[in-house]
Amino acid sequence: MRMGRRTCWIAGLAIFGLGLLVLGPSSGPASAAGGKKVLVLGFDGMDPNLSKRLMEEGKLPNFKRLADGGGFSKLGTSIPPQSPVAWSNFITGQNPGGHGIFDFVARTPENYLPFLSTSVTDKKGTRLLRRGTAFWEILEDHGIWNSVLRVPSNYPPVDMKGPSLSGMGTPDILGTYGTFSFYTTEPQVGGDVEGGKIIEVKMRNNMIESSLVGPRIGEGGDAVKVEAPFTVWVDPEEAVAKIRVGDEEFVLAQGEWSDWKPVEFKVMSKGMEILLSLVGQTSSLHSIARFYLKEAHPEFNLYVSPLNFDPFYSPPGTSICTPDGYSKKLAKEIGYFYTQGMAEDTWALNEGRLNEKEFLQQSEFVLQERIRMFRCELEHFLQKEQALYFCYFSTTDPLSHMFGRFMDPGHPLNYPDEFEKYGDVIPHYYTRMDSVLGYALDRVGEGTTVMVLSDHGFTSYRRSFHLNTWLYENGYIQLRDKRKKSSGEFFVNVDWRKTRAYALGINCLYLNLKGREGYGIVKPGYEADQLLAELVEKLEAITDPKTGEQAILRVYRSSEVYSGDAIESAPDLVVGYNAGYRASWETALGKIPNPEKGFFGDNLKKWSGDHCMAAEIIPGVLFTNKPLRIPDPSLVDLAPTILNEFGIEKTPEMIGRNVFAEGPETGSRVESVMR
Amino acid sequence: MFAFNNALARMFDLFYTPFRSFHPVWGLLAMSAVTGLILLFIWKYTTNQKQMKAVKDRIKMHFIEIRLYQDDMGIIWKTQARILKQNLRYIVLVLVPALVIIVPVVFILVDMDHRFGREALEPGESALVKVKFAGRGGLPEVTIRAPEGVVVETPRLRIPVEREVDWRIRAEREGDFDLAFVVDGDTYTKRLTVGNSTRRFSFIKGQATVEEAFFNPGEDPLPKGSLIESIEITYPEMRFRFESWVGHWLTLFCVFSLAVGFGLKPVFNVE
Ligand SMILES: [Zn+2]
Repeated sequence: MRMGRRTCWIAGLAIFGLGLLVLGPSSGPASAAGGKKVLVLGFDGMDPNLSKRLMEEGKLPNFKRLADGGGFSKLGTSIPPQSPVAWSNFITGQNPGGHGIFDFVARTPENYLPFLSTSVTDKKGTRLLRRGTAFWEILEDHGIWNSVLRVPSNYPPVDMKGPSLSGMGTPDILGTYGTFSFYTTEPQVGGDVEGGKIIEVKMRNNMIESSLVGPRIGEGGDAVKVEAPFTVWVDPEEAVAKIRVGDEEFVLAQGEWSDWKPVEFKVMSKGMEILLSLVGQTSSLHSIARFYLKEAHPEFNLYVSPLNFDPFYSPPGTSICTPDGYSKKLAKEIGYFYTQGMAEDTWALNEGRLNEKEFLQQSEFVLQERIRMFRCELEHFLQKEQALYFCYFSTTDPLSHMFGRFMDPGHPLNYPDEFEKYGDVIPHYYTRMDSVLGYALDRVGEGTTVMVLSDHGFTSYRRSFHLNTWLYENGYIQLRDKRKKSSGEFFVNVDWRKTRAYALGINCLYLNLKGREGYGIVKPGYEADQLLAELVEKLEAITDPKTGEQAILRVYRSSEVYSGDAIESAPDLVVGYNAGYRASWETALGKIPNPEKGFFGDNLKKWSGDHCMAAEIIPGVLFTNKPLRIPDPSLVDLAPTILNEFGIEKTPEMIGRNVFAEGPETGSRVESVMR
Repeated sequence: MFAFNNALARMFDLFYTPFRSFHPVWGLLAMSAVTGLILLFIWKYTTNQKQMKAVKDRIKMHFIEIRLYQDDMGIIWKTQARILKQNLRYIVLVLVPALVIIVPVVFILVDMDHRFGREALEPGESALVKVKFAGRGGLPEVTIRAPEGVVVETPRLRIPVEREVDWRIRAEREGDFDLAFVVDGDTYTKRLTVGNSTRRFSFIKGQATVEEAFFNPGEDPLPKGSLIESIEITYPEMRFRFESWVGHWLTLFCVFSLAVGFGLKPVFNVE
């Protein structure tokens, strides 16, 4: 059928008119809130007690400005108070029973093997394991522009039109949470360390040849490790070296960091690569790294950061941003940036490959990049009529982990001379966060709802508890080779046919349940219930022989604290440690150290502050520029609150309340923490 | 040779003047378009247009033959051999103009590389400076002197096997600076360009030879026989980005000049 000229005109006008109706600023569902804007800043691990003290000392003027003019409260955290879990509470407005993230590791019940809990990579690519709807997905459904930068537990990021960048949980190109490399001429005995590869190199004619090690490419027996060779020339006398990697060549004096250098891992021949580049394609793996010349003479020591995804390229089989190409757009504006999740190299400091000063320099790079990123996207937010902008800052968390011992004179790893030097590090970074906030407040002006939150607080981590050893000594775990009286990682020596309960992750305890675990022996129902009651009672009664303190403040039954569809994969008990206590690193990975050394050990690692304790003692913070109207707000309340700011009802799955609306009086603090 | 090159450089400078304050890609595209046009005209007047048309027609005819006799392998083989022969003839016809074309194109390309190959330093940016020594034996003592506005950031890095000494320098403000290198009482200089407008600058400076004049124009060469063989500043490579495409200026040049050349062939009636 052919349309007449006039019909054409009328149809055109009608479509134009409809378009105006749909897109016009004064109509449609998007306008229900009348141009509302919400800015949310996430400061990981910011502690309410320290914040309060520093505000009183006048060191956090901008936080004080918010607290005085709006609201400031402790913010109930998740059970357990681990970042991936807590931020998932924030994202979904549900507790772990709903979003399915219970600890940083989870296990496959069939074979008891642990895996990192927030994402999985298989033949189909990489998928986010967090369940539930992120509140910004709901905003997008209502046509509200939003940008969510670096929020944890969002890798790969949920598919959005708005700019987003994945955060904690994003791997380096090796697929790990960040593996540094350390090249040294010093003879090594130990080999690789936690979080790092140690590579022994030889110097000939003041020259060193080695390679950066990439991931394995291909499958099964055909898999090959790709490498990027590099050469170092060291001056015969001066403490200076030149490094050449790929097309990059740069000189570093001892004690200097390079800026980001692209490191390309070639998968195909050079010719193919050139042909592909003509059509804007690549088969290479593109990463970026920073080099630090720790020592040139007499020994040569070079630290290379974890190989991060190059933001200018889309990583194969996965994604770190939405929409496609956003990371590139951002990198064009602010330069290269860390794309891996937790970018502060805590392991390098823990393992003595970077010292405090070097670690602080490295953390400063991360913060500077984040500030640039935050300001860049803030400009876009400011131009919108109606929008949500969330930006996450990690700094306060790793710094509080690594420098916690300088806030606690009773910490076993605390030297008075260093106390002088580093005692102010954590407060300093709180003031830095304060200036980030100050900048934001000045830029957004009135009319924008501003919320600042942390996922949990902090306390000292003085003593480690070997929970699996305790389970073994009390007969809940049986070993196959009884002479050993211990087991390596992942329960290698555990006799599952005789084991009734096991601990994995930092806070989780599972029954070896019949019908659920591969070799389960505990019958669900009465037997399981009795066992749980027995464990709770015994665990809460444990005291540390060294201090006489109660080590475990509270053990939560998942059936009592969790609700939602994901509850079937929950641990049976969540262990809430007392302040100063935490599960040992060994426990987290299913290791059983020999019981002769006791269940407890002094924490002599630099990782000396922590938050994986009982939720009640480790709340986060909430600052708002509007008065808080409910007592004891909690992380799960924020998604409903943000939706409410835009006039959108929370979903039935969300268990929280709007913190700006007066509601029925809630119960005790403990209860509100548990929601 | 140096005089000729300098004159040529002036000419090119004149051409690029209107594009100085824009993104380098505009100057690049303009020159590519002009090159495309020049190529087209050289092509038109150096090739035997009549013969070329004849050869091309014959090739076309043979293709028709193949289609007609596609079941007869004998004819197809013969025809293919003929196509090959005509193709060779075509190449011979093209060879002369191609040689003629190469000369101006090389001058244009060398000049373009000094404008679009690398980016001048931005204030605050660092670069590697490499001094290579002539001859053999031990490395001579060399010191670097930076004018105000340039900071030498590292001690010297000596690589005796490469006869090379390197430093990292940082530019503090816009401008042209002369870095001085003192060897054995003699002073040698190298120009450092800082600031982001599109202009021609030299990356490496060598001794006064013909190749040097040709490939590294733009700065007076080091005297012949001096202790220093070359002084290089590793300016960052210029990258052109369009959406997901990232590439070198040469790729853009090839695509655009050929597109203009081919696109305008019918307009100027060129075979
Ligand atoms: Zn933490």
